Amino acid sequence: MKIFARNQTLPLRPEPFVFRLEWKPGAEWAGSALEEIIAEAHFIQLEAVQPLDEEVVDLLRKLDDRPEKFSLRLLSRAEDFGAETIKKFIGPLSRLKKLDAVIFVISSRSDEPAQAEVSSLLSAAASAGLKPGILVELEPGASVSGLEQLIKNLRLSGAMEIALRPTSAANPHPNFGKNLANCLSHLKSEGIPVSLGECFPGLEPGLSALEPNCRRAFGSCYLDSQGLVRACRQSREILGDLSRQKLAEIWPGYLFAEDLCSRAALTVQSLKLEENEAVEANGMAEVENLSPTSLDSSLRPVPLFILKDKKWGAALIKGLDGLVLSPKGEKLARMIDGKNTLRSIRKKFGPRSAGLIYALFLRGLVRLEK
Amino acid sequence: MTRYSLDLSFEDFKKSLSPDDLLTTVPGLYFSPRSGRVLIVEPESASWLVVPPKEFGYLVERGLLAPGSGARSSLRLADLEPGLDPDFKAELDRWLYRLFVGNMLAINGYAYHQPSRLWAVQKYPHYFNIHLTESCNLACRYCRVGDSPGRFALMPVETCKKVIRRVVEEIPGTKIIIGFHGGEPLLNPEAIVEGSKYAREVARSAGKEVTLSLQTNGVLLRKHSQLLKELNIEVGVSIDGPAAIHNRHRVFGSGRGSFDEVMDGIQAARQAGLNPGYLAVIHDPGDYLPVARFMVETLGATSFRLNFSCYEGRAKSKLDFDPTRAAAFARNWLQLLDFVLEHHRQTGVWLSIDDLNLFVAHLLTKDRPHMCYRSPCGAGNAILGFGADGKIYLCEELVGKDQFCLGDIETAPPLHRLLDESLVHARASESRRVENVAACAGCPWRRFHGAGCLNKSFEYFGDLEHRDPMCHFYRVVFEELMWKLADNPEIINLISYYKKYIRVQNEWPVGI
Ligand code: SF4
Ligand code: SF4
Repeated sequence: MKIFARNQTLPLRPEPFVFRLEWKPGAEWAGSALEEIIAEAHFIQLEAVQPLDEEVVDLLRKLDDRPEKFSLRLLSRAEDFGAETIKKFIGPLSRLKKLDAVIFVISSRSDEPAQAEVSSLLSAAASAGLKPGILVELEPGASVSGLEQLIKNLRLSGAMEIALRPTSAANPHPNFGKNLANCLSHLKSEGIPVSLGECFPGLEPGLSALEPNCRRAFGSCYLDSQGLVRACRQSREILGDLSRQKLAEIWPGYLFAEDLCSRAALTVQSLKLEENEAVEANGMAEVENLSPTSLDSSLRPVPLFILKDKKWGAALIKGLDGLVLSPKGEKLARMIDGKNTLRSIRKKFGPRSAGLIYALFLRGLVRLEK
Repeated sequence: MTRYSLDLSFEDFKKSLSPDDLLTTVPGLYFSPRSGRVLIVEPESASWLVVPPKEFGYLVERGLLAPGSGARSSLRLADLEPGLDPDFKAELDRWLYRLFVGNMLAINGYAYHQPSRLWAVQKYPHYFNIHLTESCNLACRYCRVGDSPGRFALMPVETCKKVIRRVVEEIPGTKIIIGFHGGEPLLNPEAIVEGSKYAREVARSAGKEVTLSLQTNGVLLRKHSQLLKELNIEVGVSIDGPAAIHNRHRVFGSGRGSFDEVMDGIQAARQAGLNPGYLAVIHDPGDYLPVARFMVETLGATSFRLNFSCYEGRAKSKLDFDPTRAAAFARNWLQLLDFVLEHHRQTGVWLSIDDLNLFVAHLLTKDRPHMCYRSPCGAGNAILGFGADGKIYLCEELVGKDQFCLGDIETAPPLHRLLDESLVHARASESRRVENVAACAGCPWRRFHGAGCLNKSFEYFGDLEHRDPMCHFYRVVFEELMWKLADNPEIINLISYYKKYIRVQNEWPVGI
């Protein structure tokens, strides 16, 4: 384990930024670090590693009452902590306005009675207006047969989101990656919205069905209950210790996402490759043909965040999509404020700017409107 | 791609496609499978589709649809359909068209509906609801209105006339509705008579069209029906169903049920030539069907409204509001659809039950004719409420709640200016936009439902930042109605009442 120490302050608030916090009574981050978290978060996800109790509900209430705009997510193990115990908290949880989702973690090995309990929990939570989801933990060497049925049943019981993650970084079976990818593709082709919550270490990152939805190190970080900060739950690199440092000193943010997460590195690489194509493309003719937009259409910004980096200017990121820009491209992007038009931008940056706008447009990074 | 009109036809779509067009996935879609087919919902434009397994599977395999993933992918049209069997290709083109018109697929980065053009908010109200009194001769167990007559004063006739004059003269718009409410408005007949005559007079001189309506508990209808007929006032009666159900909650101060008096009042109204509308409040979800049957079989109604009870007034202490009650409401409410279909089979008549007919309409149009199912809701932009003391509120439901008071009819500046400048109004509208209600911002049903009632959020949760307390009800019924409509296009007939207020898409979203 390496300990990183960087004296950086948190840069621009990226959108959306997810803090994943491991919760148990007396969690180290619940002190002054919490203020820093609140100031920077779009999502705060609490994962209860002990049964839900009044204390966690109180913490959630406290967060819910904060004026800052962020959403909460709560993860709780359904089987280990007992569905009945969790049900008692559904009423109080349903009164929280910021609670975006309640996710029940269950094991891929869970037997029928356990599944039935989780199903009843899902429908109770949904009836109370909560958005319930499921996180299935795949045991090391788990077989993917049976997983499909489990997921279908849970979707039918009302799970609005379904994700998978490994229990540990243990060696998977050689065919596991391929089987898992097949299983996911199959479920998706039947319309079941299932995703990977995290990477599966050791599995081929190239299989597109195995793309995790974790926001990579660009958009999330993980704090365990002792206050140790890592890029994600799986990362072994400890970036700092909240009992000794401030979060702003520890979390290097997305500036170093490439160093911390191999998938983030892949994203940055592919974005950089596309930059050239984008600027070369003479896309203006095409943009102009996209009626009913016209040269007078204003370019509207969509929520996204800008990554700044000295080496290559900036990258615009929205969801898992993005584009790397040169410093000049960044200047252009900043003019996209709903007031400037295609015409005014072209006047200022020359005809080549069209290619860039076109690239932004195709990725949904800008909207064109009359 | 060339220029689109809002009613792009399949033929025009096909003509404008070229193999070089770039198809791009749109993130944020909701997917829900059922027996092989998949329902797709595009929340922002309130579009939906039910796609058969073969086509859905193909589009997922080619990466154009990606349930569970936030990533986008793009594909040239030429690469989507190489070497396909011509019949399947023709089918697929049709689905590409539906996906495009439903904003689920962008072509060359271009989405069919531009979000800023949908969901326009009305600027000034057209419906003015006047509390002629805050007192009532009944003490229904779920109501918020004071229970002894005389406990609150009646609205003075002069105040009533001033409200009417000011709304007619100061609020832009040519068609207005004035609703007499309360409390029980028939406790103040003088204001009804004077107010109605005056309303017609000022409307005439302002060149506006005015409709008068009145909502009553029916107890005093025997006494006043003739008068209401003469004044040409549309009458709505609140009746909760057969005696056993009605008398559970609609009671006098003594606790005695009011069913007999209300039925007698309805009879008198009919004798006077009035054709009252009916409204029932449902507290026990098992009552939906028996109440609907009562409306049709006993009252002979073909159009009526069934509302569920809300957490406010006496209901807070007298009735039970289990946080999970929405599920049972949804289940029972959906049976109304079979009831309506069966009624049509037997009689050839389509019943119009609100909000069933309205919700079906929401599946077929981007118009939102009812002020309570928009974002922000109609409070202050479609409706204003006036208390018996002349205070002005954002909505009838908010009368008497200081947080939502805009001022006083005696001292308020011109009403259009009051609305333009009121911080209370601006704050309430801002908070009730779906994008600002955290729970609703990512909800697949947000543009079908619209974040729910401001007042209900306030009463149940204590602020305006929460979703509707019956959220789950809406989530379930919108999805179920989509599936039912996909299986039974006949259901489209339910929108008949709303037809004149809405523009229906030129292609049904179900691919029928
Ligand atoms: S109240 Fe519920 S159903 Fe309605 S928009 Fe909000 S989250 Fe969706
Ligand atoms: S406050 Fe409620 S009743 Fe009033 S307009 Fe809004 S949704 Fe309708």
